[in-house]
Amino acid sequence: MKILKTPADLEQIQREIISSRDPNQLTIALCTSTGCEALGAQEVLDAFKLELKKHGLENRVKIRETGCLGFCEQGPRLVIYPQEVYYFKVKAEDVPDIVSKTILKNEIVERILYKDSVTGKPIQKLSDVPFYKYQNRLLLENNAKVDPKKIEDYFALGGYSALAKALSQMTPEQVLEEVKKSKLRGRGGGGFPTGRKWESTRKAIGEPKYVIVNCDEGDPGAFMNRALMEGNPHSILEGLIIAAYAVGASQGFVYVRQEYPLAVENMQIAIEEAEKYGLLGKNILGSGFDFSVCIHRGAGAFVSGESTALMNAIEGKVGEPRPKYIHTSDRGLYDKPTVLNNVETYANVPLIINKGAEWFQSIGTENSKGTKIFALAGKVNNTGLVEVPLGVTLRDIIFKIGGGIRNNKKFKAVQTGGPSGGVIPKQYLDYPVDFDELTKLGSMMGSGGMIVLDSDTCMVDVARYFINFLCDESCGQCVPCREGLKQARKILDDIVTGNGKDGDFEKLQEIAETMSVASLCALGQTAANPMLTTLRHFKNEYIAHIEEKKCPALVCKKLLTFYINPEKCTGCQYCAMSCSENAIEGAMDKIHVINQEKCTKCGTCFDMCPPEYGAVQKLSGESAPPSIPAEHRWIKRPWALAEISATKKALIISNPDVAVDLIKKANHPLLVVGSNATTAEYEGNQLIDVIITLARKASIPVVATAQTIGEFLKRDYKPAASMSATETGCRLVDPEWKGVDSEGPHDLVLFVGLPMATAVELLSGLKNFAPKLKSINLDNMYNQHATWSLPSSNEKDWFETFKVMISKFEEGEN
Amino acid sequence: MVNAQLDKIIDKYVGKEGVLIQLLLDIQRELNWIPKEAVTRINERLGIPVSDIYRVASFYTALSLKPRGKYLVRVCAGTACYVRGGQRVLDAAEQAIGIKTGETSSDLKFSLETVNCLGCCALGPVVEINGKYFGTATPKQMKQIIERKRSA
Repeated sequence: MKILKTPADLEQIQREIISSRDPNQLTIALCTSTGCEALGAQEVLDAFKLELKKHGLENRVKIRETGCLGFCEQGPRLVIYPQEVYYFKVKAEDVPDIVSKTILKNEIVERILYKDSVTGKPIQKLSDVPFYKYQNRLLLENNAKVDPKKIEDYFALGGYSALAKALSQMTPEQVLEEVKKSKLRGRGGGGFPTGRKWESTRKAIGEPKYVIVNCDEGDPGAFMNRALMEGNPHSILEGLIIAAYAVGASQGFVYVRQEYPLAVENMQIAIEEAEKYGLLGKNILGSGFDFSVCIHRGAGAFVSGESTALMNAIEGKVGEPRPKYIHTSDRGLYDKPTVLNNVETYANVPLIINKGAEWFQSIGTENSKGTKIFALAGKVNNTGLVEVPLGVTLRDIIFKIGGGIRNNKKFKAVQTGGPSGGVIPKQYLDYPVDFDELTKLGSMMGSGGMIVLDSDTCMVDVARYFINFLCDESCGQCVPCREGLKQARKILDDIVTGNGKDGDFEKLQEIAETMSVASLCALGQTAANPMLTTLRHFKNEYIAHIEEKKCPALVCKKLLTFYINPEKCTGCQYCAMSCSENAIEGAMDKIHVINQEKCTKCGTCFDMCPPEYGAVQKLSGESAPPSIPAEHRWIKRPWALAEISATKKALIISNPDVAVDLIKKANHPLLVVGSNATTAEYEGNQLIDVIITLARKASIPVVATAQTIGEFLKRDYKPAASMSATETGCRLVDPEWKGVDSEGPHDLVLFVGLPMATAVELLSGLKNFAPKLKSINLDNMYNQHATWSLPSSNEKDWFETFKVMISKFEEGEN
Repeated sequence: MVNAQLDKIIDKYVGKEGVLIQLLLDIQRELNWIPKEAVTRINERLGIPVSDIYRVASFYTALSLKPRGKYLVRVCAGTACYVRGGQRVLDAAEQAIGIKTGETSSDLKFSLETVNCLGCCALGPVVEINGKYFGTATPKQMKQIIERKRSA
């Protein structure tokens, strides 16, 4: 290996690498970072190696193991170059198709393309995927292009040119000036201007000087630094060397938490490679500048991410913060002038040197320049790493990029800034995200963690979670933090277990305020934020817990009662079989009852109850209704014996036009509507309204079963009849019946909204005993006993089907 | 025997400053805990006071002064995992192994711990067992994994 002695040597090797590489080289770039690894990337990698060998392609096709590609939710992810085909959620089983189709024939394997969450259509171009469309991936983009273990890949992208430029064409002062001009601010959370920090260290008296990379990313819910460190370590190293040059440091440290073993490994390799090429060591690129770096692994302490605590840890001591009246820029590590910056801050430096401060300034807002990486997680549809220009709104991040809230739940709040940050409720969604705006709301941007909370999240529980976390992580040096957190935890514990008292609210407020002014370090000063913001924005929830002993979000276990709704229980026994305490009484075909004295409120029965029954319910602030006497628990099932499976199975209607044609061709159709039609909704549209429109447009008479009649009448729609599903079934098999409107027997019956068990029994009865009657199941759960059935689908597709059907009938009208 | 093993690790750090945490992490990785012999040996070889070694070893969560099981089950208790049901996965692990969080089973097969954040927040809840990550874990899956490891 050649040692690079001048900037010209570097340029030469960059050119050599680029020219030796075929731009049309078939390459599979597979993300093997921790996230994709957890989803099975290793199996995919092994499958590729095997499959390529099988086709004799192992020399023609390169496999590049890359760092995080961002959209972790959709992992394992891969890109195929030069075609730039992007595949998502790849499994080992998909590998033979990828090789035989995409690699060999240049064809797309459609099933592993990204599917648009609205239209369900596959998307081929990455820039059309909503998750990426609104991002500006300055720092993350290269993750797909480099193998983090190969410095040559970084060279091929022009890597270390910024270092060469700084060392050969700029004085340290000029570098400093450029960084100052760019208005880059620290990405770790503090947001202190980086240039100013460097300048004070440069001016400080004392030798040697140190530069430190902080990759102690201890904020739960944040993984931006991990992705950069694992995926593109040389970009950080280059930034660090430039910083050292600017401040006049000769020794650097990279502090990485041991929870990130791959980051440690990749950084270690990066340092060794850079040393081999002479980019670290003595007289770097012939400039006379000497610099070396070593890694320090953190041993698992949140407080050690605080700058002075981190310096203590590097010295081999307990990682506790020091009082800050002396700045670390004057006396930091080993009492010498020290610069400490976050991983992401350093990664920005080469860009600024290469492209200039003015270019950098053009991105972002007045006081917050450049892009910022956020770790989007929690109850949001698209989770992963998001890099956006500073100043975009929370709404854009959560709804445009994040694709909204999971399972069609409602947005409640977003937690930003980790344990030092706070929660931001709905009314502030249009606030721009930058260093200053979120602080005004009582939270902070922090290092970039963004956890989305939905209506199922209890805000008191969230506050308790963070206080509990901080209580465990407080180093205990100063009284306000140590004792304040302990008392706050005790009060919050009381509140969530139903022992909240009058005055708790005020006490929490007082503790929070004391801690924020009197604590030694940022951990204690900001520890109150989760409490203060929840107290401010969600006071009602605290009051409900304290005064009514009620958890409105149905989360706090001690305030919950689990109850089986006898109307909904089908006696399937799932709950009873899963209960570890044997607290559920019941048997096949009997209504199940929870013995409240034995119940430990673990919630397993709630999860086990099939969603179509929804019989196990959570109650809070009220006790369970008295249980039905044992002798009345038999579930009456008149049709149970009629369920006869046969080889005849319903044909699937995948095109709504088919259903429309069937209805149009029928002489005398009938629509039977069950009680679920009154509860199902999608994006604010209620199913019952859709059904009424359909019945009107298609002129089908309706039978309202169960209690649905009221809902119809409320909407000014009068069904042809109101009777139970069982009775409807009995009449339909009766050949003498003249139909609901006495106009002759029905020849087609459509079902929607019946409980699954009822529908199965009814339809299997019709199948076997009403041979002339055809039936269509309009529910979004396939029912084999009908003549035709819609396929099982999600609410979105289901509602779309109705929309198409209605529009077809409307076309007929015109 | 143990001393020879320890000396091999300590040798790397002789004459350097600020090494205590790195040294203890290496020992932890090699022996799976920090036995008393290690503390004495570090003191003898590097002259670091025993009190300092204990202070550091008891401060950091990655270091254990008690023996750890063959399988170190670490359930992520980070915020993203928590709001997506991490606590329930932890409950399931406690039940399946039959120990509480922070304990080691008497046959030294399992240790159960929580970890503040594993940095796979997009895939929560996450569980890590001896370096292998399991994303979007469910209580049921957790129990199955434990059973598999138990019979392994």
